[in-house]
Amino acid sequence: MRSQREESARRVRSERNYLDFADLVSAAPPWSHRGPTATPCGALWRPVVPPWSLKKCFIIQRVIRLRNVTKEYGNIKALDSVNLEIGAGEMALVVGASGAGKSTLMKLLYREEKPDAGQIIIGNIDVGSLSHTKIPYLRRRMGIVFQDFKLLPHKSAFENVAYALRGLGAEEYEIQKRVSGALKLVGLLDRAFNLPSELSGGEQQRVGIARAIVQGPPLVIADEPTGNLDPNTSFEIFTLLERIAQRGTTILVSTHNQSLVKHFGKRVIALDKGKVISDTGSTFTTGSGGGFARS
Amino acid sequence: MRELRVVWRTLQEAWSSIKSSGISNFIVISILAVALALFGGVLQLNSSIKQISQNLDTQLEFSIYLLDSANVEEIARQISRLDKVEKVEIVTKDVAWQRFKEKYDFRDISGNPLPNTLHVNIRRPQDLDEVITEVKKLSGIEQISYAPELFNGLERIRSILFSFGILITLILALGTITIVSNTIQLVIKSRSLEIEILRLVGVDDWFIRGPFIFHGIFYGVASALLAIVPLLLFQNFVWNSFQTSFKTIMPVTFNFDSGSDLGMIFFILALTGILVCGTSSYFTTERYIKI
Repeated sequence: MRSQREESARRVRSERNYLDFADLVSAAPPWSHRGPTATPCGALWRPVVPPWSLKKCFIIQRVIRLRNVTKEYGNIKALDSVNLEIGAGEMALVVGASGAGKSTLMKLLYREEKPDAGQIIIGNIDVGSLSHTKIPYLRRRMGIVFQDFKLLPHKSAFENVAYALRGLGAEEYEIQKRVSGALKLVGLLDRAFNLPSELSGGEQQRVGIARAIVQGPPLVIADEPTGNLDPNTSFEIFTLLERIAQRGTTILVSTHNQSLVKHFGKRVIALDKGKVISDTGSTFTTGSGGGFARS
Repeated sequence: MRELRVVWRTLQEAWSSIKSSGISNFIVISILAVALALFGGVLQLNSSIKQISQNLDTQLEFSIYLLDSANVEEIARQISRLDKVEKVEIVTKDVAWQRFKEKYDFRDISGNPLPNTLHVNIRRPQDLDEVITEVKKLSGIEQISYAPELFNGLERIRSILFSFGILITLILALGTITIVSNTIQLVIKSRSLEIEILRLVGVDDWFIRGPFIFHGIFYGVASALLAIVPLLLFQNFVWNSFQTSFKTIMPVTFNFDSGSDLGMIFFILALTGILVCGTSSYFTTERYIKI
């Protein structure tokens, strides 16, 4: 009993430490001094949001806003006038059959694709109108988790997580601290120097999640993160994502796993043929003309 | 500091990109080195002929080869009477033959095929044409060898060689651009996962493209270093032999500053290599890496 308490206290301490140095839920890593600054709270570009102000900010902030977003591939409408609003710190699940438009929605959010019509606003940035040179700044403020993990096979778990930070010019001690913190959070610090081939599928995905959160983004987008995993491992991954969301990070996950949706789905957005057919548990309600009001 | 760190890491990435290319590095560098060596050879030849021409242009001496029947002393006297002539030196056929035999070991040649020769020094280079016109009026002269004739000939050769060499170099450069582009394209494909990860985490555009451009620049520098080797050999052996041989047919001396020329040629080759490969890599990354 006592050891359980100690373990729990240790975990809380380590998580606090992680928050302290890793700036996990702040909008930008401290070395990132580029890009325009914007308003407090809603500022994806803003370098540092003091941790004590986060709760307040996240209560009022809408991280993602989609207004009548349409995306077509030839004659096929992948997304058809989609209106959505996701608040800070929410964990929203996007569900739907194959071809419903889940992946298109994700790609639009990280500007892999551009909407044909409508407006996508992340923080206070109109994603659709971003110039090519500004796209990297947007992506630095969000973490992306892939179905196929996308880990470099010849690099260790640590190096995989550190790889992007190196490209961003982070200092070595900063990389050490942030990567260790991220790996600790996903429970893989003891496997830090293993190659992906030496890790299980679930562990590989946890490395992918560590890479997504290592920059401390306010938003994590996970496109079918459990698509290649067994049910138990999928459950673990969702639990981990939920823990990250509880720290104030907005998480948008696409999945077609119904049991996970039932268990974790506080907010479930169902897509069918590119349209939102239901949105349960939303913090916001849709008003007339695609506007939003708080529910 | 951040920028310096990114540059350093870009160079590290470039090095790992070079290592991952393996044998194709040697192929690209070899082909580019041949193209650059040819270009360097053209530049070197052009520079050497130019120097010869300049040397010849300033020569104040010309040679007169006399018929065997001619009176050597009389002709020498007549020429030395000309105002613009400073000195006339007589080299009889016997002396010339003696010198020739000292230099070359031709024992099986019977008789002396060389003519009596007069080496004429004039006071000012611009008087050369006038003196030669006067000398041509004299009888007993078989041939007059003087610099402007040779100068014009060399200029023609230089111009032809230069144009031809540049044409070949351009063709090879085009081939090289294609090969460099294909190699970089293969490297990009082999590292597509890394590129995708980097661009999705918001790494700067030039950190993604930079390693491939540095990769191309490495090809340029390595090829220039390789290309300078045959040029050095050319300089040391072929050119020196040519210079020695040339002295036997023309009584002129040359002043060559081949060292600085070679340095300049290397600089031009390295710059050309960097430009060709760097540009090729840049456009390949522009085409195949979508941010």
